[in-house]
Amino acid sequence: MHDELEKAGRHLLMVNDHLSEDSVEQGDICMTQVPTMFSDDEDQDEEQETEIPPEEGDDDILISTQVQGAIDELNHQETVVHTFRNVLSRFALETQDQADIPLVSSKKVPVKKVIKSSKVKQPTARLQKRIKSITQFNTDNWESNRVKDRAQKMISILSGKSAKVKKLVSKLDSEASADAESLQDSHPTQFAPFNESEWQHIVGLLREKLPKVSRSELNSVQQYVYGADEQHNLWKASQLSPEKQISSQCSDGESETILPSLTLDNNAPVYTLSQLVEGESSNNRCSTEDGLRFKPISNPSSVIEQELPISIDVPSSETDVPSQIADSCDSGSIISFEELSFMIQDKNKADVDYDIPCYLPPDSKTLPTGEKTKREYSRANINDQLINISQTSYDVVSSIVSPMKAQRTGTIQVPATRTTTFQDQQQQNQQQASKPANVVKIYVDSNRDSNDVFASVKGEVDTQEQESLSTLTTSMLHDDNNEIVIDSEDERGSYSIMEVHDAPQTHLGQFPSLRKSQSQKLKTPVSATDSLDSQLQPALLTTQNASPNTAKLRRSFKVIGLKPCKNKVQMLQVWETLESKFPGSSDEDRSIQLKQFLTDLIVQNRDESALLMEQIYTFEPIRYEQLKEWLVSLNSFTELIDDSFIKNWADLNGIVFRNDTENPLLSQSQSQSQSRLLSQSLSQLQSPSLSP
Amino acid sequence: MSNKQHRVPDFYCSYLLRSIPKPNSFYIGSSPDPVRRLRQHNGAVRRGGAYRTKRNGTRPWKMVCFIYGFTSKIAALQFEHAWQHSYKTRFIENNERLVTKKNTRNGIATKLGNARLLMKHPYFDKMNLHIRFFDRLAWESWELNKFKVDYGLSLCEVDEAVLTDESQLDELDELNLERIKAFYEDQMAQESSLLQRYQDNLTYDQKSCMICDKKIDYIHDEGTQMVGFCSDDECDFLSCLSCLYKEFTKNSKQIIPKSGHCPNCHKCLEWSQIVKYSTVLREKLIKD
Repeated sequence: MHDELEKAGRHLLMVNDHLSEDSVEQGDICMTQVPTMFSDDEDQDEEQETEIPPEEGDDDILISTQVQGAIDELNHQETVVHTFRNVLSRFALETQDQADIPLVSSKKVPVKKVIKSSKVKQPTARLQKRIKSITQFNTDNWESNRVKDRAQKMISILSGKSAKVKKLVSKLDSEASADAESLQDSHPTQFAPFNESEWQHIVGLLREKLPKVSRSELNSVQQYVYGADEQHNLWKASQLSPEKQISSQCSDGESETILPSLTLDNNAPVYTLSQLVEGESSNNRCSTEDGLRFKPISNPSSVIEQELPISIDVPSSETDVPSQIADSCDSGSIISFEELSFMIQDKNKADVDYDIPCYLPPDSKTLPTGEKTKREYSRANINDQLINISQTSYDVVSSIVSPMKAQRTGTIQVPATRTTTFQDQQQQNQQQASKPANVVKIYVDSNRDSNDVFASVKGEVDTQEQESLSTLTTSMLHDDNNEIVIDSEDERGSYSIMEVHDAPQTHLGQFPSLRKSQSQKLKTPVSATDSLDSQLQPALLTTQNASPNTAKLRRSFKVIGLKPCKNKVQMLQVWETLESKFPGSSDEDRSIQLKQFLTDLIVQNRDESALLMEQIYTFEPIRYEQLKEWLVSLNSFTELIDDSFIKNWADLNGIVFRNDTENPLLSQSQSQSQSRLLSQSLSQLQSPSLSP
Repeated sequence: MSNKQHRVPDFYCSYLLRSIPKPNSFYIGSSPDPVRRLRQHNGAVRRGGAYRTKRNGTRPWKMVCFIYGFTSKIAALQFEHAWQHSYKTRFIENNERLVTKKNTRNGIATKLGNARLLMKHPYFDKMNLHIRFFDRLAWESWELNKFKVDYGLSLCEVDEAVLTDESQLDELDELNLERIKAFYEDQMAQESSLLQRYQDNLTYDQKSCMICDKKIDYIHDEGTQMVGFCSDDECDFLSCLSCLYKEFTKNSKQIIPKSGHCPNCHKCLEWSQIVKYSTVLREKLIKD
């Protein structure tokens, strides 16, 4: 009893301790869950409803306190976030006093959040996806859109050209992922950003949209939008116009005041936006007016080490040494060799062998042909196609499949449509395989008629290879040993190559032999040792064209008195045999002949089965199967004859049949043997004679 | 193959009955004993099926004719069936068929025309069937050959004395039965006398085949040997049936000959009659 009383007393003390702890924790919860700015009567009431009852056990109390602590932490974080969002939303809109923020947010957000926290539930997807306004969405996703998306959206909205901006930003992202910081400025050539007028429009819009913003606020916006990292400043990158920056002639005052000071790196060869937009035309203009301008190759050996299949031979009339024009104010392109090397590196990553196309003059036979390195020929003639080094990702060829370039692997060839097509090795192999063996290339004046040339050439070549010239094709110039220069005019651009392909005589010769072999195969006589199917198939092939259709055959079979066959092959075979043995003009004649065949079969074999013959001529009724067996044993062809026909024939000859009711088992076995005999007779049809 | 040796029946006929009170009612049947069968039809004999002829007002029946000479019961039944189902029998060619529908009520001319067509068929023609008339109108219709069936009348046997007359209506059925009975008994008597002669010829004298010169041991033979005789009373030709068969089919490509000339007396012999007597003799030998 005393022990029990002590035990009870200890329990009571423990309960009291717990109760006191709970009261403290509850107070803490109230303190944490209801901050001053969220102090709302409703929230407190709801919170009190979610209180954990003290009647629960010790473990439950401990767990509930832990859970409640976690909830408190989450709520605290959420309140902080919401506070910051409200600040940001105000920042994104109009400048307002920071004092209003808690008042605005305390009405909407905390009510829901407290309820959610009391239920210990994560916000549903539906609630998360709900977008009340664009501003709300942007403020909710401000972290992810902090650097790039907001900048991209801002520019795209202002300019109205989202595709361009997207391309621009995606390219910047890919560059950022790559570690080449020095190369960032060297290849904005891959996209076409805004031109000058577009930027002016953007600036105008910016002025309209942000008229009241002070510099400090603008700085804060810029800080917000672009962050502290100014290296990847899209704004700067887009505004880096070396010519304009250096000349300082056409700088926009407003933009200077608005934009932060941009330090232009003259050594960083970049395009202006307008140049990039103009792109090819400016390049062409540059090339035509000023020629190609190159920066000096800083390390040519590195290019060679990379085994680049590129070397540029500038004609002597042009600049012998590539020169650098660093501070050119012209609108032409500044194409640095660093850029080129970058491009080469970049393209080598893609395992693509970029070749600058080689142009050979008509008199290129004078050049040494033994060297395997490709010889390039750059021509300054306006009529010729110049190599655009900034776009040397393709070879200009007249056709996708050039026989002379087929040895290359992975060459991007661009036909007249400039649609980049990638030619893989497998295709090339196939094309090589299908390519004629002998190709003779003739340089022909394009003014001349190809037929005349062909006639003259054929006269020459026929002496060597008779009946070999069949096709003529024209293509661009290529270096080959089989070149015959018909007319080596000096006028460039007015020539073309006539490829004289050797006619693939093997193909022509193969087809007749193939047909011959097939026809021989069809005409091969069926040997008796072949299987039934192999016998029937050639017979079908040889006779199917001239054979009547199945319905006619069936009708004829019925008239003649033959068994209906299961398939046409068998019918045709039987028909062939019948036609050979019973040459009659009509089916009725054949039926008469077939009857006579049966009669002769028995008459000529009277002594073979004296007992059965005695039964027959003594009018003894016999079983039909008995007679049929004997007939089949005399000639297997009778197995193909219909039973009704044989019975009819037997009636005409006075043979009396009886129904075999005495021994049904015998008749069953005989019917089985009859079906077996049918297959045998079909197999023997080809060889045995029908003479009884 | 049954163990029982085949024997051509002594007499088997397929007959045509005509109702005396209803002349448009006919009945076609077959029987080896037409007298007994006719009595059955007319109710004189209680036993035996005669359901169709029992109908009210049709009795008595008279047997206007019968066709006899069948080489087997099966053949006689085939003829009967074909005669009854002349609209569909295979023994009548479609282009010669007189009746094409089942329930066509045909007269005596059609019945006889179908009989003529059936007898014309090679199957029955080989059997050398005979037709015997016991009614004047039926015989006249046969003679008339309304449907012009091309078949010889040489096998038509008619005795003017046995032809019943319509004037003798009261005794018509009895007269018909008597004359049928007379004919039947006469036939059986002829058959019997012939067979007795052949048997005596074989029993009391050792004979050899007059064709192959093979000895015919009728006494010790167990029925494996079949002998053919000449039906002429004066001719004692005897041979193996197989030899005679070969003789008859020597210059022809027939499997079963219809007739042939006796090698001895050159009388035209019906093959079916030769076979008939040969099979009967063989059966007697086994029985003995």
